[in-house]
Amino acid sequence: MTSRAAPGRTGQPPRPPQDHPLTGADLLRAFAGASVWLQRNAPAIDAINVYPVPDGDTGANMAGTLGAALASVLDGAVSAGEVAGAVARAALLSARGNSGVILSQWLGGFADAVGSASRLDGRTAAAALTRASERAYAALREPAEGTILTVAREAAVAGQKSPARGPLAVFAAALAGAREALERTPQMLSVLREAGVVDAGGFGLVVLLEGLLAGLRGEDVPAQPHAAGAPDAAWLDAARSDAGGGHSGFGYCTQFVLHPAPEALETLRAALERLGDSVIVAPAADRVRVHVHARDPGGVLSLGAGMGALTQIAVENMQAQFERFAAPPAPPAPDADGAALPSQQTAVVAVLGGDGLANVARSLGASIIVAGGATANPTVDEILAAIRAAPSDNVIVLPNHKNVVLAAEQAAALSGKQVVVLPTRSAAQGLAVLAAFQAERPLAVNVEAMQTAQQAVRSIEVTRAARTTKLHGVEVPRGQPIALIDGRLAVAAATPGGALLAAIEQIAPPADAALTLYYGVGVSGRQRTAAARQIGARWPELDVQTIAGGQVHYDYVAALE
Amino acid sequence: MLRIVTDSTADLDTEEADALGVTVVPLTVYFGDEALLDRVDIQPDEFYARLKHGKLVPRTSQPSAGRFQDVYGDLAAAGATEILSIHISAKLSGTLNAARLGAAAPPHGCQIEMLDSGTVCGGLQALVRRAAEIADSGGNLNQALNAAQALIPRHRISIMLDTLEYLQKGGRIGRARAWLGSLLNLKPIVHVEDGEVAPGHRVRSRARGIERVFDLTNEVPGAERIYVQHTGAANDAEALARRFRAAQPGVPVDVRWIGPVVGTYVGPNAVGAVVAQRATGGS
Repeated sequence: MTSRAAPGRTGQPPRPPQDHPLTGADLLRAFAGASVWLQRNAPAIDAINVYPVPDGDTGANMAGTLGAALASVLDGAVSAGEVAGAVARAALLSARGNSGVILSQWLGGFADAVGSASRLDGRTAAAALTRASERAYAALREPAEGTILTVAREAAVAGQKSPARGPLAVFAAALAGAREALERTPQMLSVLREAGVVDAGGFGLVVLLEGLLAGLRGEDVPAQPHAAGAPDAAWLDAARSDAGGGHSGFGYCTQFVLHPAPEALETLRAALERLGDSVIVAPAADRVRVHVHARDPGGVLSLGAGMGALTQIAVENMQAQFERFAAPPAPPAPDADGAALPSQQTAVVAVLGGDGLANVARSLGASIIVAGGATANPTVDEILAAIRAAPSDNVIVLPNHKNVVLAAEQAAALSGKQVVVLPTRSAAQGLAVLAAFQAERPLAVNVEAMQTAQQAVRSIEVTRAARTTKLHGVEVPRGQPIALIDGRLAVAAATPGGALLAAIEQIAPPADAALTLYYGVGVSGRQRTAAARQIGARWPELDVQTIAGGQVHYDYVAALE
Repeated sequence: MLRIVTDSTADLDTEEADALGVTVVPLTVYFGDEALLDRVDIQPDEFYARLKHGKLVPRTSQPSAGRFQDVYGDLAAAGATEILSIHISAKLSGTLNAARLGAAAPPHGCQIEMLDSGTVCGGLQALVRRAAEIADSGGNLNQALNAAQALIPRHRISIMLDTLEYLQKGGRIGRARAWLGSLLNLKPIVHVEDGEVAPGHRVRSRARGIERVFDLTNEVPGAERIYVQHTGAANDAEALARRFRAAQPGVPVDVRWIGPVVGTYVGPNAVGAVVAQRATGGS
């Protein structure tokens, strides 16, 4: 066998990435890697969650927190400081559970240290890991060792000691330190030792750093997650009988965001400690996230409501969570009664903004519509809930916007179902693809048919420029009608109708093509009649169907096939 | 002597049937009280003109058992000792049932076998042609039955409809029911699977639909014959046939109408193709 080098290249393996300061895009890629790897390992992390409450949700909480945070900052941030800051702010709002809140504080400290730096160098990376660890400790009045805190601190210490200067080397050293600390957690915390596991939150942080590094190196995270451990069976039995006493057992994990943040945080913390334990009071800017394990969640909420406005309220019954966690794996239900929707081979979840668009999707067989749209991207949780509610174990998700794809993938990884995310870029494309869907065919057959359909459709979106931008060197002022073809800015025009026509012209459809035109709530009857008449005059052979889409931000959304 | 009987949904012309030595029993189309024998009293071009422009929605009915009894009796009288009667899918029409009743008391000295083709149009015709070849070359009833049966899983029908309306009205929609209610004006491509109408793909434009029909037909290996069929879309059908001739030189490709009875359910302006594969093994 002979091998031949491609012109201009040698046969050497690709060089390792250079360890240069990280741009915002680098950092975003790193967080994305961390998020995907956390999602993938969430079940393995959940499986060893015994402290402070054995409720088996640490992995899901950490993955959900970072995932939701990332989904809301995907676009627009340019500098490293902006990315870190946006992730931290969003994480505070999306934080779930004890470990999620601690992670949000860790991210907050990280962002503090990055500040407004446009790039993240090795020195700043080490400082960020240190500040992150400090903030995580500060969130708890009595920080316990042998937990995620220990792992965070040891990661920071190792990062500081890194002899090399680049951020990649710092994160790699931090990961090594984190792994060592994780192995020692059972020596520091007796409950871990008794249950025969390492700390779940610490494991989560190790996973996060692993994913971060993979993202920085431009590698895909492994397809297979870490092997899942499990607490000792005898320990679980003992825990079960310990917790069996009161009717509420472990009580309720109660969380909310309080706005504005009260002046005296210590007073708030002290009041909460009288109501429960595992108290976290985590301030950020003008608000504060509160987490407490309480017997009476009502008392906690009343206390908060007396001090300001509450948002992001979440109350979970930890006894029920524990019972689920500690229960032997249940046999599959013989015949799920009370299922809302009849089960089908494959189901579709579609993200769409606009009643008309949603109606078309339902008429084509979509089971669940998640509300979305230009400025209202759904969270990972919302997509996850839709996937879980879909009447099949095989689900296809149509995100219909590039900023929703990652959230959809994260929800897919968390769902425990067979899920394929088809990266549709617009509502028009998503609906065209949906036409190829058949509920009674297997997942793979549908995916293939829908991918084929995706290749045959071009989509047009007519909207207004959100900011002043440039097209072919010409300035497009904010507010001017523009058309995007397949998600890319292609045309600017004086009117929305003009933009639509120019976009069709640019695609140059063959005579026998079909155009499906969804007009938005802002388009008057006169305007759309005029647009339809002009299209008919210019392309007499084109098969045009006009539908009220009900979308808000796009004057027209169109599919050309 | 072995003789082959089929029905008018095989879309054979009178001359073709004569040349093959096949007896065709017509179904009936009704416009109101007016009863017309399929492809005898009414030809496809006239039928689709009436379907498009007329106000009456046609109905169809199977031949009577008595009609089959007469046909079998006549063939026996002319010397047939064996008869193979191959018909439209029993899930689509009661024709096979009528034939079975007509054969309940077979003429003396004549053995009659029924075959549910599980298909229609070019698919049914392919089975009939195979059986007729075997009869012509002196084969017996069992050989013809086996050969025709072997073709049932070895053909594919793909028809692009202009609308699902006629399938629905006629109660023949089968599993394509899931497609009703679409707010988009889509062109469905249907197949006949397990004897009934099965949904395949649906696309927004006619051009892409025809493209899909071409691909779905062209990808079937070992084509023996391709039937391009239509219900009044002659230009599309001719263009499609030219593509098959270019893609598979040497394979006979003919363009023919879908007859009035099946057309009642397919509706006007449909175009599709049926590909029949060569027999397997050394035959």
